[in-house]
Amino acid sequence: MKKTRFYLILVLLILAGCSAYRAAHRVAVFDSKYGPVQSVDRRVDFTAPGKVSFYDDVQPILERRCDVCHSCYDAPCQLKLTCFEGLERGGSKKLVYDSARLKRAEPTRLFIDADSVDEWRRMEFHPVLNEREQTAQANLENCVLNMMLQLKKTHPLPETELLPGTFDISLGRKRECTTAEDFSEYSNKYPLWGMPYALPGLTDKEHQTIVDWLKQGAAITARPQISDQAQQIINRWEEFFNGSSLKQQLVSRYIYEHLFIAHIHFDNLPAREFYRLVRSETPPGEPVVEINTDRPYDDPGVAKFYYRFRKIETTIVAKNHTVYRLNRSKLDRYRQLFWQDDYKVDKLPSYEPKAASNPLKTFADLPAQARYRFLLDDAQFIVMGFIKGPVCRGQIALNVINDHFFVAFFDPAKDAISNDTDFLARVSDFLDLPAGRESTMNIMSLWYDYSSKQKKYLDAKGRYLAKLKPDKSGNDINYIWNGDGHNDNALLTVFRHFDSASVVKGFVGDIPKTGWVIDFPLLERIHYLLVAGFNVYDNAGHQLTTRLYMDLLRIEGENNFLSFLPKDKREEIRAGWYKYARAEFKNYLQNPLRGIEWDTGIVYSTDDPKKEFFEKILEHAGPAANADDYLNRCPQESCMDKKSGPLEQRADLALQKITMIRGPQIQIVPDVTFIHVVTGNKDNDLTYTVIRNKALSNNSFLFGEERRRVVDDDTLTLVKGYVGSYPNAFCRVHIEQIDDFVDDYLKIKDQLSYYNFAKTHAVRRTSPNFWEETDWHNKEYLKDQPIEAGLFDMYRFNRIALKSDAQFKW
Amino acid sequence: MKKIPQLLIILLASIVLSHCAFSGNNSWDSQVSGPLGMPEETRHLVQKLITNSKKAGNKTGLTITYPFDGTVFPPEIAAPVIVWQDAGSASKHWLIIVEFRSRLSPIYALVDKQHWMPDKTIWEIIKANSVHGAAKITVCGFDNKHAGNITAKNSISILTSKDRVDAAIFYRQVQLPFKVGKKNFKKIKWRLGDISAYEKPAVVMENLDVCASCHLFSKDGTLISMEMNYKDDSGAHFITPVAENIELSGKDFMTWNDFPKPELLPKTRGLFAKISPTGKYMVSTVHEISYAALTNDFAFCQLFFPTYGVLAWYAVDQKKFQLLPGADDYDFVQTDPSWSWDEKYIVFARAHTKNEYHKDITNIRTHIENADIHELNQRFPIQYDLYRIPFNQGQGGTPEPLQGAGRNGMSNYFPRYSPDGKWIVFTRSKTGIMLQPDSELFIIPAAGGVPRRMQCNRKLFNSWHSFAPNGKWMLFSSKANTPFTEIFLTHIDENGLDSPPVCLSRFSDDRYAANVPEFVNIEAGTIKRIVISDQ
Repeated sequence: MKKTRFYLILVLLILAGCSAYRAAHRVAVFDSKYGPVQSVDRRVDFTAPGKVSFYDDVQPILERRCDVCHSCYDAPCQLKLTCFEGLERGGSKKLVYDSARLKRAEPTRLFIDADSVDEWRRMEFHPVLNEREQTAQANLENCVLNMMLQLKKTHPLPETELLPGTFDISLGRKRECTTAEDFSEYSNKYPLWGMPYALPGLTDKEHQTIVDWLKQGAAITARPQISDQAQQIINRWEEFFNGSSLKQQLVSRYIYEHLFIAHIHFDNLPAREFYRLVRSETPPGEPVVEINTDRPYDDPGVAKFYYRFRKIETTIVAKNHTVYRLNRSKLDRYRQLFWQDDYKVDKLPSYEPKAASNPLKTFADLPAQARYRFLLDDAQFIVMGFIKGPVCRGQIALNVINDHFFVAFFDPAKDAISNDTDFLARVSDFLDLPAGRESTMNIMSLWYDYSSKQKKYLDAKGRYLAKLKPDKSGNDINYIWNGDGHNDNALLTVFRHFDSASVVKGFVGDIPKTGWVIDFPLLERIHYLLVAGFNVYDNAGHQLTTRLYMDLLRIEGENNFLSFLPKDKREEIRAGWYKYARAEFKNYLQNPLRGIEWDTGIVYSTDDPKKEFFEKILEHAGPAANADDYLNRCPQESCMDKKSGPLEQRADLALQKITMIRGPQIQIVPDVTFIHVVTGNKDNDLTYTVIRNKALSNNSFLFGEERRRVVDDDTLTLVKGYVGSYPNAFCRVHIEQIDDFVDDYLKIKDQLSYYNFAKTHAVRRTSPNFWEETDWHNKEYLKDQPIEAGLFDMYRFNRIALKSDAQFKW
Repeated sequence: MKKIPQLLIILLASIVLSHCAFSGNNSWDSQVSGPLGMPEETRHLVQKLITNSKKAGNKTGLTITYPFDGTVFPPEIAAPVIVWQDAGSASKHWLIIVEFRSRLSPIYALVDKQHWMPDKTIWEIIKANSVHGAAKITVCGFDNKHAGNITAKNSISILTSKDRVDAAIFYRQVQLPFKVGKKNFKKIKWRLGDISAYEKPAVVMENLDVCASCHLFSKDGTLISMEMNYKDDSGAHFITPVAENIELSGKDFMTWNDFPKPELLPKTRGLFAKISPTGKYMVSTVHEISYAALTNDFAFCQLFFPTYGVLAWYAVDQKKFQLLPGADDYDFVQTDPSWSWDEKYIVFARAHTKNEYHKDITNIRTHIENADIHELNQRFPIQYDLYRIPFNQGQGGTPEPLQGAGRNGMSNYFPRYSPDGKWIVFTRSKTGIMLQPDSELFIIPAAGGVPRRMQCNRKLFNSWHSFAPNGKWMLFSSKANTPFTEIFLTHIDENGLDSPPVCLSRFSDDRYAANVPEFVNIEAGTIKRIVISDQ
């Protein structure tokens, strides 16, 4: 045995030695050809006439062709091409999303965690631009960007129906993250893997533009200063946020901790100009020096810091674009919310993690109703933050929710709990969140602690309500917030698309399996659990406990919903949501309907109280609700939107039929499909999104989601316009062929029928018009939503089918 | 003139037999040894048996398993082996009596085994005397202890048709269980036989490295076409003139793989391809996906059926392919086509696609299933209906369901036109499209109508039928007697009525299944050898 081990170790050492030698040899070759690695200053004052400008010429190409994958945390190899700084930073083999990480990783947020190329190199980012002698030859031959583009040009994507099987487009695929020195090995191994990966290449003109820019040294001019108008607006807002009173400081902290992920748009500024609210070491008037903490409530580490606005210099991509608008009326609203009531702030809360991670404790001095209304005013933004905010993807994080559900809120004017600052302060210990315990792997103990606390909270809440309502009158429809009659955030719909999700206003789609009714402490905790307290760079323990605690919060939201339904039906309805949940899960719940012992105040007249309740909510919410979702809930001609044009009506009528298919038949349908209906007048072309909602028997477990699938209950939702940041498929159909399109769609039942459908109607990865169609959708989205739109991500764009190389033989 | 000595012998035999006795240990055949050679003891015994047999009714326990009662033999067929099963242990010897409606005296034979094959000469006499009226064959069992006591007895009748077959039979012999691979392909033999021959049909093709299966000759027998994986191309199919020595090379082959196919689909094999009667066209399933499993069942060792596919035709001279409109609906699987003899119609089997049976449609493989055919049939049911479409010079038309051959809760497949165009015989089973234990043959008018179950059906697996060029006879395969499939032959009259079949036992083998048989409009010696010159 010992001998065997010795020889094994020897072989491994030899192999490692060989590998190291080869790597060193390759570097030496590059050293001799292009000189040693050196720091390169690419800044120039101006772009000479006739030369290629990054901002004018190169960035638009990168935006259209590269940023559709190379953006956000899930950019392959962390190579963010959404701005020059990302290109200059280069790539890294380290993963941001790593569910097996035992220790917290050092964050690598662009613009935040390092300020110079040298710093990034120390953080093991490798260059994709030439950082050796600055000759035209070296600028190309020692440049990964050029090499990748050139590889694509030499080996273009085959114009076949199906993407070759040699491309791995799975989310978990191995990252190659090659360097210039290793590129020959990469290109020999993967000749088709030039960039854009698994997509058609650049046009000759686009290619040449980038090559010319690289050849001339990848020079960059300074960004234009922000406009005077913008500066004036920012000054006003920074003045507000940096007020010196304790109340102001606490309010600013509260707002900041909810807006730190926001892409803030100021009215009157260009539609595509966005800012981030950051904590800076420097006061207004000076350049922003952002304090780089993991979380917004982490100790800033300086005695004095300032809330500042920092312009977003990267391309805006849909997957992390959560817009929050600031304007004069918003300022008035803040003042109304936080200054109208007479309350005092005598002391500022600490940044100690245990306390700071609990907003009910930290901000206990602020009136509960003010805080709740602040959240409700932009409820879609807040809820969207749960999904888009801190992460761009996360199947484990998202499998805590169903694929399609409706969300409503308790009315802040009526709900005793959401209103009661004192009560919430009293029970705030029970509302602690697991992020307060920092990185940990002691998951079960942590989860037990927090679930016990939640039970205590629910019990305390029950006792308190019993005092307030001796008659034990239950919740009636008036407890549902109706958006104060005007706010369209009153009702929301969440769609989960495997590892991403969307939040839309109104109740969209057919009646879903579940619904949530959220009150203030729940909404606040979800934000602090999933957004403010979530750190994508933290270890697996943090990610798991976040997921597990979210189970409890989801159940709380669902139970709030059940509290509006007849008491004798709740158990049965809930059992339908948690089929096949394992015994241990049921045990820990023990009393799964804890805290909702009272009967509802609503009188029901049908045998389907869930549906009836949703209908009552829609009626109650009135104009603020998207009550008229005829595409999904009334697929008949009589329900059509008579205000829409004849072509739109025709398309609506035809496409509605798609929503009627469900169950096993739609298993092959992609999660998110954009349909482009060509009308003959490009200004009138129509867009729809088809969303596949995948049913689960329950959401009780992190893993084994496929085993919990209930395909019979899968549904499709049809939405006008765009829903989802990661389209999985594009379809294109002329209005004259819309009925044939739908007929063919209805025939989809397996991979082959989908393939047949796609032959006629889908735009494939290998389609010559792939980029044309992608550009069209991006432009259309921008046209439709000039501020909220961002570039769609193509990383999850499905292949039509993966053909095995095996041959059937008999 | 030839008949005179034969009749004389029979007459003599009859006279002698009436005075014979039987030793008990020797077989005696009235046609083999003449009456003069018969021992006295035997003479007496036979006489006694004849007398007793007239008194005895049909005693239970003895069943004549072949020929079947009412079997109609073609006039040129070689002598069959008469086989019976005597369940009674008392019977040690058997007397066979062949009686005629004509005035001809009976023929007798004494044997001590439970089968007897008439001598060629006597068989000819039997056939000649059973044309206008049935010949009755009686088998009587007796023991040694009580001489002349009949222990078991049974009778059947046979007829001989005036209609000759006048065609050779081409078929394949394959070992069971069916296995793929070069080693197994080499063991496959292709034979071309004549029903009048007393020898086994000649092997015309063997030692192939590749699989070959479905085949069809042109109506006039001048062209042979066959699916053969030439150079490992599973879509390859040769079409070549019939000759004494056929040497196949690349020029003789077309490949259905040349038919353009969508990328996702497996390679087209040209499943169940059929050359047209004139040899101008071929029609085949293309773009097909098939479910294929090898079972643990010896007799029914595979389950195979297409789950997807359309029909396309190929113009042999122009080497052009085209989909056949009307049989090109991708919502269905359209397969197993058959030409009408005037090339005006194609009848084919159609079912809703069953691609859900494939775990991964992009990676179709043969499954190895540890299950028998019944279990697999339950798991993977498919029912085809027959449709008819005009060929219309390749323009196709609207598919019409063939009344009586579909929507009957059964699977209907393998349609074959009778050469006079009046009938279609097809196979029906609960599920599947080939090699089904419960498959039976049905006949309907060619334009559809009330189906009639054919008498010729045996108890297990009846399919793969082929009409003789004159339309009077039809052969088919069955596993009624043995897992090693045998070929049977039934007579079909002008009303489409068939007879209990003749078993072509010389085409059978106790180690090989005789399958994919086809009547060919040639004499058996026309082809001596088929080889691939550049295998």
